[in-house]
Amino acid sequence: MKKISLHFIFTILISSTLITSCNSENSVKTTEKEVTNDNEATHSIEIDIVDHDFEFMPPSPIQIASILKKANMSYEEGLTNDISNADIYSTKFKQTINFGVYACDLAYCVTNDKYEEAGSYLKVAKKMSAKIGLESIFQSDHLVERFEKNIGNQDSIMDILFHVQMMTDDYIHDNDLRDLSVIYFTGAWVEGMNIGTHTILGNNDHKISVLLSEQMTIARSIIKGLRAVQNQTDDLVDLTDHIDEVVEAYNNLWSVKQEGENIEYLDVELKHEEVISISEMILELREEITL
Amino acid sequence: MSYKNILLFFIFFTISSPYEAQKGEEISPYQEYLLQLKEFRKNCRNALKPFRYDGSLTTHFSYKEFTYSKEIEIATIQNEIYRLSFNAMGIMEDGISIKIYDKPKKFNKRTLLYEKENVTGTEFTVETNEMIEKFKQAKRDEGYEEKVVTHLRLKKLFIDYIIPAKDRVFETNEEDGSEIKVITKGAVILAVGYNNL
Repeated sequence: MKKISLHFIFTILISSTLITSCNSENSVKTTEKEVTNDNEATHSIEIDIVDHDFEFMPPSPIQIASILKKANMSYEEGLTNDISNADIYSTKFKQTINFGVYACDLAYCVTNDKYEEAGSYLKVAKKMSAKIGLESIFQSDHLVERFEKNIGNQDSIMDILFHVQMMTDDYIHDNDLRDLSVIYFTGAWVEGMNIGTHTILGNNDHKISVLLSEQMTIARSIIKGLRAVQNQTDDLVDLTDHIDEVVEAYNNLWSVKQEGENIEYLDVELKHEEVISISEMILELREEITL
Repeated sequence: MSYKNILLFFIFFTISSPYEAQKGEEISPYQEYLLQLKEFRKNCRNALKPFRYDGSLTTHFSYKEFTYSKEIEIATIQNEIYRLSFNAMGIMEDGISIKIYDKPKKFNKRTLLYEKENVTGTEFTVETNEMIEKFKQAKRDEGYEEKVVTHLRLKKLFIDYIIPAKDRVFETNEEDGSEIKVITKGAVILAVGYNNL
């Protein structure tokens, strides 16, 4: 019996080795050899970076927040997404998009010297990052501790935020998480619009006109990016359609239409009722992603 | 040799092979190259100073038997001056062309704002103020009135990397005589910064 089973295992091993050898031979024939431009000449490819013919580089959440600051929009409590909401986001889509929302909130607090709030948003961003596979960004260099040590020193805090941004960019690139970055940026974009809209609604139509025309230009690229995401979940399709509706509504405003083909290059001055209608749509959009 | 010894040999062979392969992967020249790119990325970002970092993108490409382009769209907002830092140290073969336009490539009529030919093994920066001037001049030439030109802004830039054609090289595997296609690759890094004033 022992001899039979040994014979059986031996046969299996020989067979599997032969199969493996055959597969290897096939893979050699189909493998494209790689030249990496270093002095090592050539070698076989083992890993590769996915090629994309088109890429969009959106403004970072920090820059979105600095736009709001530059437009002299003062800090208003209660506009940012509640930290406790982080626990209600159960899907990866919701977690990713709200990671972007919180990243924008964090930058908004820092640019307005609200360090205590910023500290809380950094922690919630860390928590969300762990849910979407970006935890290593916040684990390195003791970021939270460094942040807490530098509270009150805006330059140092901003340096930490830029460092986080760079690490996020690198991690997304090195791990080919392009789709995740599109969704995350969309969250930051919607939150920037939400804060801007709330802050100046009814106060200064000129500022919101400039903000809207600028952000609508970006919105078209966001839609393109969202439509290119591989895993088109219902949530994602709904969100893309919703942003599309906002852009369409904006394009159909009388003030926008009259600019004709130059619209891509101009800041449009909207009428008060136009500002109201678009702002309402933005607030709905923000509610859709955060609730 | 008994079945038992042969069996032990196979078990050792089966277990040790993947580890050997993994060891090889850890230090493969291609991965070394990717690590080198990370260093280039740091240099590329450093070249942005004193502008504020906004984002960076590494574009990988392979030379094909025909010329083709890859396009990157960047948003330039708030009428800021931006600095674009290019690092092409990851290109050591035929140089690529970098062209910057006001519109994407699907538009036949678009304004060329900047171009640099034969970019290989180099790094450089360019700022958008020159591009804005060029753009406004192009609009004046098209007959736009000065009062309109004054208000025109570049809200987006479209950066085209034009990768030249290269003949395919095939090598013969000495062991089994099979033909292996050699692909030549390169990468260009772009970092974008905005004026913080």
